[in-house]
Amino acid sequence: MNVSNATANPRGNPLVVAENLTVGYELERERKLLTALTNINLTIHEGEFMVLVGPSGCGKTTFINAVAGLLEPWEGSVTYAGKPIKGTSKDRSMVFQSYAVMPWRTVEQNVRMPFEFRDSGLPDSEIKQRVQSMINDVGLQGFEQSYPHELSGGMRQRVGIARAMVTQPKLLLADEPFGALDAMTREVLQAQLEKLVMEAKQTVIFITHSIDEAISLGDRIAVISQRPGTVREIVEVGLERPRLAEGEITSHPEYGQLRQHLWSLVKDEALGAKSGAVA
Amino acid sequence: MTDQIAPSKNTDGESLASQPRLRDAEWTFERIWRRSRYGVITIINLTIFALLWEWGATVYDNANFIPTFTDMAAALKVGWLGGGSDTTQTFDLLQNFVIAKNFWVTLQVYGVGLAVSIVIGIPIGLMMGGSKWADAILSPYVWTFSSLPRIAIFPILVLFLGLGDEIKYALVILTAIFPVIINTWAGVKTTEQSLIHAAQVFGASRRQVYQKVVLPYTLPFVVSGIQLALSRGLVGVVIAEFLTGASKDGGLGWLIFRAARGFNGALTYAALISLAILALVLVQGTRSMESKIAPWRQVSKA
Repeated sequence: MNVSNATANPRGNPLVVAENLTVGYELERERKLLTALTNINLTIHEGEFMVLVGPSGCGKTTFINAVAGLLEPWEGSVTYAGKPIKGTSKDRSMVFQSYAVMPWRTVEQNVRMPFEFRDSGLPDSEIKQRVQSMINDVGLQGFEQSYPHELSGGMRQRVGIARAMVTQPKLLLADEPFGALDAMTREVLQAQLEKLVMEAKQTVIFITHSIDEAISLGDRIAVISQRPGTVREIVEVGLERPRLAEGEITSHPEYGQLRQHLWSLVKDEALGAKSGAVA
Repeated sequence: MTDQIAPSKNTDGESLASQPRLRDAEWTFERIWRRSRYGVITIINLTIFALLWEWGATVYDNANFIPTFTDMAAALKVGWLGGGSDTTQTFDLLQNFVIAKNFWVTLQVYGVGLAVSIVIGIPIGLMMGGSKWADAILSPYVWTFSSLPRIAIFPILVLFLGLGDEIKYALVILTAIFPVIINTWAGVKTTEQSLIHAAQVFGASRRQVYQKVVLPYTLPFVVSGIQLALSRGLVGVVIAEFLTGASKDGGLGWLIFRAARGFNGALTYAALISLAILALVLVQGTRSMESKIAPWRQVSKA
C-alpha cells in the first residue's frame, strides 16, 4: 500500500495535508455520530489535480467538506498552506453535486455571489467585468439574465463552475460535479473544466465515482475504501495534458491498464460494501 | 425541464443562445378560441345554473328556503346598489345598501385580523425555524392551538372580550395566524443544506446565510401560509359574526344568519353569493401572487 506523502515527483509544495484525519458528522434524527472517514493521510500539492474515487457513501464528500472548512476534524489534522483549516476561506471554493445555485438569482447574480459575501477590494466595474468574462468562459453568454429553472442541468452546473472560479481561488473543490448529468454533457464539461483549470493553474480536489472520469481528469487518483473510508491506494496518471481537448484518450494504452487496475481496486471496495451491508 | 423541447437537447449554451427563444404567435381564429374557450364555457355554465335555479325554485315553491334566481338578483341589487322601493318596511332586513354595509364591516375585521396575523406570524415562524430555543419554547403552544378547533375557546373569549368587535378580531387572528407561523417555520427548516453550504463556502456570515438564503427560500412558503390564512380567517370572521349578537350591521355572517332566521331567502342567498365572490377573488388573487413572487418554484414542483 502506497500512502506515503513523500512521492518523489517534481510537484509543487504541499498545499493540503491531511494527517491521520478522522471526521464524521452527527445524524440528528438518530442522535448518533457517524464516522465517515478514518485515518486519512493525503497530501495534495500546488497545481495538482487530485481525484478521489470510491464506493458511494465512503466519505469522499466528508473529506471535501473538511477541506472546505465546513466540518472540523475529530482526530488528526487537515492543513491548508501549513495552517490548520478553520472555517471557510476565499482561497478554497467549491462546486456542488446538486449545483447549489440560488434559484431566485439570475445566472449573473449567482456568479457574482462570492464578491458579495467577501469583500474583494475590487472596484465594481472590475467585478462586473470578471463576472462577465467568467460567464463567457463557461459558455453561458446570452443567459446572464436567465434564472436557473430556465436552464438545463448542464447549464446550471456551468453556473456552479463559474461561481466557484470567478474569484480565482487557489484550490477548487469539486464534489461529484458531473454526477447528475448525461454522458454527453458530462464529457463537454470535463474538457471545459480541464481547460479552465490548466489556464488558471489551479489545484483541484475532485470527487467522482466514475473511473473514466478519474483517469480523464486526475494527475493522481486516491482510491478510498468503504465506510469508514480511508485511503487504500494512490495511483499516478501519467497521461499528458490537455487530455480532453482532442477527445479520445480512452484508446491510449496506459488508459486501459489504469482502468483495469482501478476497477479491480474499486470493485473490491464496492463488493465489500455490499457484503458489509448484508452482514 | 419539460417546457423546453427539441432545441434544448443541445445543452451547449452557445448554439442555443443564437436562436430566438420567444416568437410572437399569429392571431388566428383557432388560437383566439383556444384561449377564450374556458371563459365562454364558464359563461354558458353559469347561465344554465341560473336557469336551473329559477326553474327548481319555482317548482319547489318555498321562497323562504329557496328564492327564485330573479328574486335573489333583485335582493343583490338592492343590497349593493340601493334603489329599493320606499315601501320597504323599516323592520325588514333588506334595506338599501345593506349587503354593501355589512360587506364593509366584514372586510374591515377580516383585513385587520389578517394583517395582524401576518405581521406577528412571520417573525414567530422565523424565530422558531431559526432558533432551537425559540422552537422548544413556543412549539407546544403553537401546535396545540393549531390543532385545537379554535371555536372551542369561544366561550372563554366571550368572558374576556364580550360580544363586541374585539372577539371578532380575536377569532380571525386565532384562525389565521397559525398557518402563517407553521408555513414560515417549515420553510426555514427545509432550506436546502447544499444552498447553505454554498453560501458558507463563498463567505456568508450567519446573518448573511439567513438573509440571502433562508429568507428567499422561505418566501414561497410564507405565501402559501398566507393563502391558507386567507381562507381560514374568512371562516373565523363568519363564525364570529354568527355568534356575536350585534343589533345592526354585524357583517356578512351576521346578515346571512339574521336573514335566514327571518326567512328572507332572497337576502340570505344574495349575501351568501357576495361572500363566495369575496372568497373566490382572494384565492385567485393570491394564486397569481405566488407565481409572481416565486417564479422558480413552479418548475421545481413540476
